[in-house]
Amino acid sequence: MCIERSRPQFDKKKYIEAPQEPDVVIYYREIGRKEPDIIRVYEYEEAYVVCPTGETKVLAEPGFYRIYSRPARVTWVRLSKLTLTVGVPSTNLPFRYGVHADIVLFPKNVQMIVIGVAKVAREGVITIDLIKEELRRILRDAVLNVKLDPNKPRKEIISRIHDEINTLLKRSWLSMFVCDVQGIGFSHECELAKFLEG
Amino acid sequence: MSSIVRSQLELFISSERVTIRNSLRDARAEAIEKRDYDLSASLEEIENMLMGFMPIKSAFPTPDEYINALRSYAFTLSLLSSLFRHAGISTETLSMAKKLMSITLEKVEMGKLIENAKKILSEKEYGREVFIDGCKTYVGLLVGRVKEFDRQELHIVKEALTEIFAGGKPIRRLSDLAKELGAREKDLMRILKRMPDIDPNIIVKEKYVAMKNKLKEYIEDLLSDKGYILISDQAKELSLEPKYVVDALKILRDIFPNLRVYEDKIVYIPNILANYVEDIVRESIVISYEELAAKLGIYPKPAAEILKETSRYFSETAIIEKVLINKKRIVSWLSKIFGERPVIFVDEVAGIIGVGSKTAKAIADLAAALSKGDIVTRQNRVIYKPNMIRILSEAIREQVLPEDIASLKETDPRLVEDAVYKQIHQKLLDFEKTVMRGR
Repeated sequence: MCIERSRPQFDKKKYIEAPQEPDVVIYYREIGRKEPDIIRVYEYEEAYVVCPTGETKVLAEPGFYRIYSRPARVTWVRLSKLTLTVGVPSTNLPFRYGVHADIVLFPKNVQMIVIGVAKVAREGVITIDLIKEELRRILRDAVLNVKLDPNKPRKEIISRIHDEINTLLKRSWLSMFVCDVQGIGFSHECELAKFLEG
Repeated sequence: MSSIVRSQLELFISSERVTIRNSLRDARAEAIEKRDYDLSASLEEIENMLMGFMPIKSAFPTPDEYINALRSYAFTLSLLSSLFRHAGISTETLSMAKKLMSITLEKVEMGKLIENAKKILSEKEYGREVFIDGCKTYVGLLVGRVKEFDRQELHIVKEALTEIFAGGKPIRRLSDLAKELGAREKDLMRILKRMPDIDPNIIVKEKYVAMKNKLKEYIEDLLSDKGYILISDQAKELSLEPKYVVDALKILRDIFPNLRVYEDKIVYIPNILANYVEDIVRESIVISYEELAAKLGIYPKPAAEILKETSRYFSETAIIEKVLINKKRIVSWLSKIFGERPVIFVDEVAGIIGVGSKTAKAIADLAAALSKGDIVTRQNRVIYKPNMIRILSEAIREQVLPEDIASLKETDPRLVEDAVYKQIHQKLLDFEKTVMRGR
C-alpha cells in the first residue's frame, strides 16, 4: 500500500485537496513526484487512491494522508445526496409540452468511478452541471420511451419515469449512480409557460 | 504488545467499517432503485451509525480502557460483517445490527457484550452461524500477530470453540481447528494453551482439542446402545490417531467414573455392556467366549478379561468355564437336544456347544439343578425324566423294555425302578378312577 495516515497540515501549499466549490462532485488527479505528497479528505467525501502497483485504497475517514509512493492517482467523491431539477423543453420533445423532474442521485458503486470515468485524463472535474446535462438527455429519452401520458395518475407517471431513468443510467457514464425520481411536472402546469404560450 | 493489538484493532475497525459501509451503500442504492424507501431509510440510519462507530482515544482515561473499547468495537464489527454476509441486508438484519451497535456503545464489559450479542443473534436460526463466523473473524484478526491473548479475547475464543463444537465432532484435530479459524497451528496452540484456565471443560493437547461435556455426551450416546466401542472405529470416525482418542477418554474419566478403557482398544461401561451381553446370551441361550467375542468384534482374550468385570452385573446369565448360559432357557434348550430320547451323553452336548466334556457336564449339572428334577446327570449321561417316564409307560403296556432304558437300568437301577414304581402307581390310580366312574 502506498499511503498512510499523516499529521494534520496547516499550510495549504503542503497538501492537495479537492476543489471546495459545491458543484464539484468528482475530482480526480494524478499526483506526481514534484507535487506535495499529502492529501486531505473531508468528512463529506471519500477518496480512492490507486497506487503505482495498481492497488486501490479507499480513504473513508476524514483526515490527512501521506502518499509515499508516486505517481498515484487520487479520486475524491462527494458523498452527499445530489438533489437536482432537470427539465426538457417542449421544443426538444414531439409533444406540445415540456417535462421537468426532481431527481435525487445516490452513488452506488463508487469504485466504478475510479476504474471508469476518472481514468480518462491526468486531472479532471465532474460537476453538477455536467451531470445535469447528461440527466437532461436521459430524461428526454425516458419520456419518449415510456410514451408519457400527462392524464394518467401522477404516481404512476413518476414510477414509470423512475424505472426508465434508472435503466438508462446504467447504460450511461453515470452508471455509478442510481436515482430517485421524486416528482414530475409538465410545462402546461406552469403558469409562466401558459402565459408565454399565450 | 498492547501497541500491536491497538494498531491491529484500529486498522481492522477502519477497514471493516468501509467494507460494511460499501455493502450498505450498494443495498441502499438497490432499495432506492426499487422504491423501497423504508429499507432505504433504515440503511441510511445504520450507515450514519457506522460512520461514528469508532472509539475516540481522548475519551478514555487510560490506554487500557481505550484498547478494551477497541476490542468491543472490533468484535461487534466482525459480527456485523458476518451477519450481512450470512443473512443478507434486510430490515430484520438491520434491526439486529442496530441492537448490536447499541450494546457496544453502552460500554459494557467484553464478557457481557459477548453474552448480549449471542442473545440478540440467537433470536434467529442463522444466529449461531453468524456468531461463530464473527468470533472466527475476530480470533483470526489477532492470532499470529500477538503472542498471547488477553483474558477477554480468550473468552471470545472460548465462545467460538463452544459454538464450533456445538455443531460437530466433540474432539478435533488441532490442524482442522486451525484451518477453521484461519490460523497457523503453532499460533493457535500458543493461544489455546491457556484455555483450560478459562474453561476447565476444554481439553487442549498437542494434537487435538476437545470439549469434555460434548465428548461425554457423544460417548454416552454411542455406549447407550451396546455398552462398548472400539477405539479404532472411533479414531476413524473422528479422524484422529487412536492414541489421542484414548488419551482424551482417559481425561474424561474425571467426569465419567464408570467409563473403562481396556488396553487402549475398547471403551466400555460395565453395566451397559452386561445388559448387551445378556441380550445376546438370551438369544443364543448357550454361547462360548469365542463366539461372543466374534459377535462383539473383539479378540477372545480381551472379551474374557472384560467379561470378568461385567459378569457381576449379570442377572440371568451364568458363566461356566468359558461359556455363557441363559439360566431361564437352558432347561428347554437341553430338552430339545433330547428330542424323544430319555438319555444322551455329555459328549453330545459338548459337541453341540463346542466345549470339553468337563464343561458340558458342568452345564448339564446346572440345567439339572434348574430343572426341578426333570433332568438328572449320571456320570457321562444326562437323563431327561419326562421322556423316560413316557417310554416306561409304553413299556409297561407292551411289556417290552426298550434298549436304552435297559442299559440305563443296568447303570442306574434305582432311578429306573423308582420311575417304574411311580408309573405302576399312576396306572393303578387311573384304573381306580375308571372303575369308580363306572359305578
